[in-house]
This record gives sequence, C-alpha cells and structure tokens, in this order.
Amino acid sequence: MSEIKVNAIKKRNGSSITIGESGDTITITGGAALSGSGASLTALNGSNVASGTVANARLVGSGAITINGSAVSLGGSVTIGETKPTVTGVTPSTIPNTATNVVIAGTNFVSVPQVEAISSTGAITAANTVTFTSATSITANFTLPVDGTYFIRVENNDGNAVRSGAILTVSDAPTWTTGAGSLGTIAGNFSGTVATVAATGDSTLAFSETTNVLTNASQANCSLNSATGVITTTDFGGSSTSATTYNFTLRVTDAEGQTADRAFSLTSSFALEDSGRFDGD
Amino acid sequence: MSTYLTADRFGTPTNAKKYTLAVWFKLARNTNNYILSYNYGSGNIGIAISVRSSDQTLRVNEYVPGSDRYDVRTNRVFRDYGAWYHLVVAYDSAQSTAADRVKIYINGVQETSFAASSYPSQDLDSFTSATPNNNKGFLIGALYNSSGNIDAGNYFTGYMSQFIFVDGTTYTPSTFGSTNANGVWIPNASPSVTYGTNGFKLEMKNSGASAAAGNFGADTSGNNNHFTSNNLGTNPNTKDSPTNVFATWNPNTAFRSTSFNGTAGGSIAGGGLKAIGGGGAVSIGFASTIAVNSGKWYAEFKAAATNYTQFGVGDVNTWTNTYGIGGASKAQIYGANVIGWDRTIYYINSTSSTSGGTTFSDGDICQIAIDADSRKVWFGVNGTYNSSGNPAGGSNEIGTVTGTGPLVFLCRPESTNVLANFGNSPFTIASGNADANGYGSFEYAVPSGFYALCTKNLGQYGG
Repeated sequence: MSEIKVNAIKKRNGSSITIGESGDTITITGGAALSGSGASLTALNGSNVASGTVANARLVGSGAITINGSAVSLGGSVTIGETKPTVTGVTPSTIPNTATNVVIAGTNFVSVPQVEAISSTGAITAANTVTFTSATSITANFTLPVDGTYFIRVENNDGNAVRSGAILTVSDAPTWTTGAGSLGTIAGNFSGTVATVAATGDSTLAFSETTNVLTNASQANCSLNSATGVITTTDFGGSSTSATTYNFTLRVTDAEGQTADRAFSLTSSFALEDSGRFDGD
Repeated sequence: MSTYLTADRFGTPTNAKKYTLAVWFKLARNTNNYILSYNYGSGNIGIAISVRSSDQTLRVNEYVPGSDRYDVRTNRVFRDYGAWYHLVVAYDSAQSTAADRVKIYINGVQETSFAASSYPSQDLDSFTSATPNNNKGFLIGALYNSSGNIDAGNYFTGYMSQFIFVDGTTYTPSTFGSTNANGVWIPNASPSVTYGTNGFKLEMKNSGASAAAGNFGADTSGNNNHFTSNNLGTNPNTKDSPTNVFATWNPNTAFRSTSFNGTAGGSIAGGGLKAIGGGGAVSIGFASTIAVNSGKWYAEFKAAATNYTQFGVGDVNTWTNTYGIGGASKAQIYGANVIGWDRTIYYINSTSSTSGGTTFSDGDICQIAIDADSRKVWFGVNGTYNSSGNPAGGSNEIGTVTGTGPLVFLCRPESTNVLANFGNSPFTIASGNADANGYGSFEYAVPSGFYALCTKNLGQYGG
C-alpha cells in the first residue's frame, strides 16, 4: 500500500474535488477532523458514514428534526405532545337510576367529548347527552338502571381519553311512605308517642328535621328518633296553652347521602278539662 | 253554703245592643239553678238566666221592677244530671225580626220551641247598659233579689265550665264548639272572640276566692275582669268537664221518693257529691249517675256521722224499678241484687251478715271497689279492705251482686251526709292518687286494674 503525505489537496480547476470512486471507503483517521469550513461536503450523511458520528451542528439546516411540531435536536429529548383529559370529580357523586345530569370536573376537555359510565362488571353505558361547558367542566346525562359504583371515561375527539376511578354511585333515593300533611291532633301537654314517620330506601335511613319547629322546646317540643322515625314528647306544645298547628319539614337520608324532604304538621288541642263546682248547699 | 261569683260592671258597654253568653253547665239537682243574673236594685235592670225547678225549662228573662223587658223560655227540659249542656244566648236587639233578637242554642242547635217568647223592642239596650246598684253587677250561680241582695234559696247546684260573656258582639255556637264524628257537640277549648269592655272568660281553675288572676274567678279573656268567689267548697276546681264526665249522685234514681225534688227525704248538694239524709225512715238513698256493665271501678266515701248510714252496690234495674222512684218503700240498701254496708253489717242480696267487717266511724274514708265483670264487691276503710279483701287480686270480696243489670254505687245517708269521691273529691284528701289512666284524685291508691268512674274510662273499658 502506497502512502502519499501531503499538506493540502487542491483542485486543479473547476470547483470540486472527488476522492475515491463509488464503492470506495474513505477513512479519516481517528482524532482527525474533516473540516469543511468555506467548502461543502456532499453525499456525506448518516447512510454513508460507516462509523463514528457526525456532529449535530453539521446537520443544522437540511438535517432539522421536528416531532409533533416541535424542533428536536439530534441527540436531545422531547416529550411526546399527547394532551389527555383528566377527571377530578363528579357532582353529584350519587345519582338515582333515572336520567340524571352529572357535572364532570377535570382538565383538557375538548368539545364535545364522548363520555361513558363503566360499571364494576365492565358494562359500558354511554351518556345520554354530553354538554361541553369548558375545558374543565362537562355535563353528562346518564340513565343507569343498575345500582353500583361506576368509572367515568372521557374521550376527546382526538382520541385522547381518560378513565376515572370509581367515583359515581348509582343508588335509589329514599322515598317517604308517610304521606305529607297532618300527622294528627295531639292533646296539649301530652306525654308519649305522638306519631311515627316512615320511608323506604336501599340502605340505612336516617330521619332529621330541616326546620326548627318539631324539636324546638319552645314550639312542638318533641323528639325525633333518627333511626326509627318515632316522634315522642314529654310535654306536647311545651308551655303553649292554646291550640296550635306546628308545620315542619322532615328529611330522610340514606347511607349514600341521598335525601328526600317532606312537609308535615302536628296540631295541639286543649280539651276543656276544668270546671267549677257550685255546691248549692 | 252555696257557691256564687260576683263582680261589678266593668265599664260602659262596648255595645249594649249586643251580647253573647256561652257556658257549659251540668246540673246536680232539680232546684232553681241560676246561671247568670245582674243586680236588680231599685229602678234598675236585672237579668236572670236559669233552669227552673218547677218545669226544668231554661229561661232568659230581663226585667225592670214590675215588668219584663224580654222573657224567652224553652219547652226543652233540662233534667239529665249526668250530662253537660252547652248554652249560648245571643242578644242582638238591632235585628228587625223580633225572634232574632234573642236566640238560644243548646248543644249547638238553636231552640225554636218556646213556652214563652216575649222579645225585646228593637234597639233596646240590654242589662249591661244599667249601672248596678252598690257596685253589684254580674252574679254567677245565684240571683239578686229586688233589694239587691243574694236571694236565699236561689243558687246553682252543679258545675259550670268555660263561662264566656261577650259585650258588643253576637256569636253563633260554632265559635265555641263543634260536632265530632260521633255527632256529639264538643267544646272548643280556645274560642276566638272579641270580648268587649264587659267581656270575660272564666275557666274556674284553682281555688283562691279573691278577684285576682290565678284564682277560681279569674278572667282569662285578657280583660282581667276577675270575679270574687263566695262560699267555695273543698276542691272547687274539678275535672268533671264536658270532655270527661264523672259520676255524681243521681236525683233521678233516688230511693224512696215518688216526686223527688231535692226536699223530700233528703237532698243533694256539693255539686251532686253530697247526699243529704232526710233522717230516720224517710231518708232516701242515692245511686251514681253512671252504671257499669263491665270493667273495674273504684270510689271513696266519707260520712260525717254514721248512725245507719249505708254504702253499697246494686243492680241499677232492681234499684230503679224496685227501690227507686215509684218503687217499694224500702228504707235501706237491702234486698235483692244489692250489697249494702251498714257500718257493722253487710246486706248481701237480701241476706244480712255481721261477719268480718271493719266498722267505719266519723271521718273515715271508705272505699268501694267493683268488678263489674264478676260482679264482686269489696269494702274498705282508710286504705284497708275488709275481710282481707284484695280487689287487684280478685279475692276475698264481700260478696257478688246477683242480677244481670248494670251496677251502680249506692248510699243512704240516713240522718247525716255522705260525700262521694268519684274522682273529684268534695272532702279534703292528704294525697292525690290517680288511677292508671291519670284520672281522679283519691286518698288511697286505686287498686291495680280499677279506675275512676268517668266517661273517658268508660270509653276504654266498656262500662
């Protein structure tokens, strides 16, 4: 192998210098640099550089890399730009089996996403309707005949989707079985059980008063058993001495926090219990 | 002593052409029973609303000396001594029709049949327009005579409740009561009316005599038109009311009197709880106003002096038909279907017995317990039943009343008085034992399962 040592190779005429022929391998000794300042190197690219690296800077221009619209330098890194929605909560968190609007809070909602409720068994129920409010709020209307807990899946039109945890509960709301209105007329100062209210539901029920009349000592002066709905008193009407109608609202709440309110009344009566004896001796 | 209430007129009437009187009353005997009167002093105007002894009719009569201003008297008679009556008198002299100027309602129904019907002239001012003599205006339970004094012998014997007088407005009965599901006229405990200057509402609670709030004659209308109470008896406030009627002695079944009117052979006073003996062989006997077919019943009795005073229990049919009005001249609680107790002797269905009994003396409180289902009778003295009787246990009774009719409590006061406590004691008691339903006030504990003889208990236990 012959060896020619020169300090420079310059063209004789024209504007290009050709080294080797097609199929040849031109080796630049390690540690040496191939400088092109002021000159152009053609046909040098990743496919015909057999070994070693080509400096990134040498690729600027015709070698630019763009991913999802973002320029990426060779050897650098980039986060792939998928914009997925998120779900942070639903309101209400418990709904009945009938068609009910559920407001879904989250981020990155794009009008108008598809929304589904997925039961613990995997059954999927699409929302009846979806209303886009903002990127952070959409409203889905669900009819979910089967009680249980549900995941919420939101899929934007670009395919980005999210599935929440089991954040939606479907449960029957409690229902009053005691009709609204008067629970009766009770003798003033009566002591004992006044009335019993009742309701049905699919979980443990608790009774309470939303007004401040029934259990107000200055008014009806009764006690309401939250578990049984039994209304008792030790002195119906308290210090009142005249017939009075007490109007109040009771609430029944189930274990899922669902409520039902109903208006009732109790009326006190004061029988004519005294007389004067005229001896007439 | 007879109880009555007095008060002066309270001021110039709101409208003397209109007034309303509404009162519940229960009579205890047939005598002149004056519900309301007004001073009939010299030259003045008086009024008397009363049930007359002569024919038991009710009369509304306003007058000046020598003549009537109006006089309306019912054909209806009032001689049920076990019932409360509700009376409304509505006076409105402005009415163009004379008969509309004085309306009388009994138990919510307007009276239309009258034995007398003289009506006031149109626009006649009523008695409230008259300034009373000597500051004597309203009088409840008695009558002012022509001298302006309480007329001896003309009182009221029985009970009154919710005594309302309205000055200047007329009201119909629906203001004061209503008809319940059983068709019974019942009181409205809190009627809403405009009382006017001379209006008042007396509930007759408590026992204080002075004209002051909280006393027997207290006006609770808001006007503070209080009355002074005179001759109040022991425990004048009672729970014998239109909504719970207690037993009293019944003049209609008094023993040995074909024309009992309160004077022959004895009498009744103390609101029907005091049986007064006529003395000796002519002394009459009395039965309770309530008879019982079933249930267990308790009462207490007190005799001022003993002699031949008797207590007992009997078959009401036998009592009424054989010993009572028009019956045989039996002088004692002794005979068929009757168990009597004559201090030391028991008379058990015509058979006398001297065994066992604790005698009762002056001041003792005697007890009688009746099991109307088994017809067993127990007698006791001061809390101890004779012959080791045990009413609650149903054992050691004095006897069993024969016959099949309802049972009544009986007494024959002989020459003394017998006070009966059927739940509203006319004599002083140191304690106040109610029955298990909270009714009655007795000196001694009511035996378990036994109850005071009143209509609320009858409704529960069938009577």
